[in-house]
Amino acid sequence: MNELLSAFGIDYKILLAQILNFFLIFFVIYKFLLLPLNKVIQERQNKILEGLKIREESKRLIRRIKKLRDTILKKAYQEKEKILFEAEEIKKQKLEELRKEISGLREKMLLELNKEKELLEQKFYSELNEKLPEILMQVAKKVFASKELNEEFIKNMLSK
Amino acid sequence: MEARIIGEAIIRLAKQNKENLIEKLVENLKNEGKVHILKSIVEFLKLRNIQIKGQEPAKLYLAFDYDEKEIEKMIKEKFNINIKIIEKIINSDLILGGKIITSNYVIDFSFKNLLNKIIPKEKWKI
Repeated sequence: MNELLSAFGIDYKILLAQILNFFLIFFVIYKFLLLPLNKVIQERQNKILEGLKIREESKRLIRRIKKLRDTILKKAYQEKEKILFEAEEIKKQKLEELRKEISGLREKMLLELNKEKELLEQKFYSELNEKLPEILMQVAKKVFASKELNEEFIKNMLSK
Repeated sequence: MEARIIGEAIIRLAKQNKENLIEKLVENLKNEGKVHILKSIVEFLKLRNIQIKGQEPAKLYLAFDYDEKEIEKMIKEKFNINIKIIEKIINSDLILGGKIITSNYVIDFSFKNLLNKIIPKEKWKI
């Protein structure tokens, strides 16, 4: 074997040393470079995966939120429409009630006004009836206050 | 009432020319403290005197002053009533003309009466 190795110019001792050296370097590299690097890469990969997972989760959440928002908006819109419709109905109902109330009040007021008018008319005519003779007499006194007229009147009244 | 009775008694006594009894009657009234009815007796006698003469004693209400003799004459001519005005009262409420009140008649010839006839009484009574 030694001869064969010598024929190829290989010194087994050097070869052994080189092999040993190789494994030693390999071990050192593996131990101090590859393993931490691998660890770092693994961590990084994990982080990326986690990030991706979170992203996916976020996307899912966003979709869910969007869906929820849409549902809420739709519900809110429906609720708004319902409230508006109800408000419109209430408004119509209240307006109708108010119109009826105003109409009733108007009728009542008109009735009272008519009654008041009739009372005032009655009062006016009653006062007129009471005061007119007195007024008439005062006017007549002023108009006919003349001795000559009196004389003529007596003669007319007592003549044959 | 008492004045009327005494008045009538005085008239009868006067008709019988018993003046001394009249004097005694008056004296008696004085003694009884009834002098105040003498005025009423005189008023009654005045009225009776007018009636004895065939006249109606009357109260005259006038809106303005006017000759009562003239009115007496006009009443006699128009109604054939012989009145004697014993009291004249001016009342401007009559407006024009006047009113005569006797014990038997009321002759209203005032403008107020005329108005009362024209205007419905149940509504406007002046």
